[in-house]
Amino acid sequence: MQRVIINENNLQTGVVYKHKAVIDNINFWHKFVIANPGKCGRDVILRAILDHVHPLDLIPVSYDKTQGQSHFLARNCGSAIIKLAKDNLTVPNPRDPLNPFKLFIILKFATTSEFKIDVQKNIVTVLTKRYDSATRTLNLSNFHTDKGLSEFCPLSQPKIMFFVLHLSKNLSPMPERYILSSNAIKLLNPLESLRGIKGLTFFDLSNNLIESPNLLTPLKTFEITELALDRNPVCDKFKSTYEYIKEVTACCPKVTLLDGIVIKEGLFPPVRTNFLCDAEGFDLVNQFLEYFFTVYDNRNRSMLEGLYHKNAMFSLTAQYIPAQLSSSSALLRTYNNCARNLLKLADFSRNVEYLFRGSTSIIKQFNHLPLSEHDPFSFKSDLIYSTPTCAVINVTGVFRELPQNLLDCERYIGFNRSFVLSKPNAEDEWCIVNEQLHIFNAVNIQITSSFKTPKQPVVSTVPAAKTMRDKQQMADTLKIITNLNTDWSKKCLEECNYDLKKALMLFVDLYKVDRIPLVAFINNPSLYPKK
Amino acid sequence: MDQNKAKIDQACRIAEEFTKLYYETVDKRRHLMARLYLDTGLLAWNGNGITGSDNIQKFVIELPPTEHNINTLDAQPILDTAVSGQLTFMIQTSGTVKYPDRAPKSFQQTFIVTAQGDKWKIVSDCFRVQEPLSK
Repeated sequence: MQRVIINENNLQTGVVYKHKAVIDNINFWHKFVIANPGKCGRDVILRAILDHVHPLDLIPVSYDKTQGQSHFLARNCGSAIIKLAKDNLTVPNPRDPLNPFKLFIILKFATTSEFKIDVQKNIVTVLTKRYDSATRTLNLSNFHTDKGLSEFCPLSQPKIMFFVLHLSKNLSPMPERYILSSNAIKLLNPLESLRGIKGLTFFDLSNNLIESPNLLTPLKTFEITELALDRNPVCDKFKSTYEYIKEVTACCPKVTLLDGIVIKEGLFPPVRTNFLCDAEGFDLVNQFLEYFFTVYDNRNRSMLEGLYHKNAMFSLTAQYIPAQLSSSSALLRTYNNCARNLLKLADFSRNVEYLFRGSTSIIKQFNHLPLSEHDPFSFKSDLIYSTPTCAVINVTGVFRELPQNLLDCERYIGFNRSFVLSKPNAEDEWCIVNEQLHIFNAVNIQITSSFKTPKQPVVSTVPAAKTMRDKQQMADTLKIITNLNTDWSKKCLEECNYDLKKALMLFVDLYKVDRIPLVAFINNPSLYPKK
Repeated sequence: MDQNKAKIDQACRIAEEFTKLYYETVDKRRHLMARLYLDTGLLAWNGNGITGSDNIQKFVIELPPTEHNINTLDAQPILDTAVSGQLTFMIQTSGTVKYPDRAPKSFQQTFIVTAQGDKWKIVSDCFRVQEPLSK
């Protein structure tokens, strides 16, 4: 058998075309030699070459390094050889851009009958290891880094991905969920390998290199319900989440879970708790709402006055909602008395009657409204306009009115509140210029789901006592709390390195199992604990 | 009549006309939705943000058919200091919305509308339904 070498010396002589038949013969292995691999390892070199010829087929096998040269075999890769020849047998070296890899290729290095290689068996072993048949999930994340693989198998090489997916079809039972994340995948065409398989539900393609929306087309042939695409360049190509979802559902109309988020619930887009038209506005919305409602829920709302522009406007509307748990005891009179419903205005010229203008007048009105306690966990907030000088925040949720007397029932009120905030100069503080409040007796879901999260108690930690004086003080404290005598209080504290909380827990534990002798309390005969 | 009162009157009048047109369009002529928004307008529909009048129109067209019924309406002119003198109103509505095969749901909506030529256009609006849509 006559081997043929393609190197930079004979490249110009048309050697490639002269031996086209040999190059295209799929029964020959060709040997690729990298003359100057330097210190680069297998994965760096092969990745560089595959990236360079991408998406042409080239499956390197039997990589090795001898006498300072790296080499591998490949077959059925005519287009890749022609591409390499066109580029003067050089491939950019990602580690050293000034020293590209220099190759030469020995055509017809061996025949497939002389040199048999079974990658298939090895890959199937790895696939079996990575397959969870209980959840029918095949995890191919970071596939090429698998220590069990004998050959370099990056799924970014379309042909390798096609081959690996093809082999995965032999797993039993057949996989329904494919995790293909973190594989530098650029093209999805190899998914065709899975075409026609029933029951596929999930592709995780996150953290790959999918560039543009039209590259998602191969997904069209599947009826998956779940897809992950996050951390691909394509995700940044959309102006909004809406357009992103739109594009994805155009390809995969059955997807309801995208990047782990529910995108469709039956006929309606799902309700989302918060929306920010500008992610930068997160702190503003959070801080503003927390401050506003903390102060507003005080007995005296006057402290809010500084937050309002001197010419600010405030108005409210109220609406009774029938057929709710709150309907029978609803009492919206206080709100109705100052409500400004333009639809009920008998005399148009009186439209300023309940438009409160100026911070003083607004605060005065606030102090006429019933005392309130808002449930921040019920809030749904939207930042619908945001510039450096102006922001519009909408918040809806539930508060309860504090009962005026013991017989008064607890009233749950729903609200929807819109604020226009202004900050004319960078050095100014934000202030409220316009505000509208809508009030209604809470609807059922608000009553059943609000005030479920108890307020976080203020956690006060007592640092461990260090000095003699602190230790004595702590022992006195423990004595008062537990009725132990001084000796036993100290014993307890010694045991816990003078951490009061631990000492108390120790006391409780011992007390529960009756391990504290009566004598431990004897200091204080009159305060014997009742048993 | 002071200048502020004139603006307030205008805000109230526009609010009535505009919301009437808005809900008629949503309920009966969704293919004309885009006209009600600035090109760069924003709809925050139950926490889903949709930007651009064409996208908003497409989004609304895909929602199940609606019948809105408005109970309260309120409007204010936004102070000049916040909008650099560009005539802008904040409008708040509340009412019920009926979807096919579902009981009417309470909702509120807040609009920021601004004058563009002789037309009033939505800069942003925020729609929130209070009750679960599934039933």
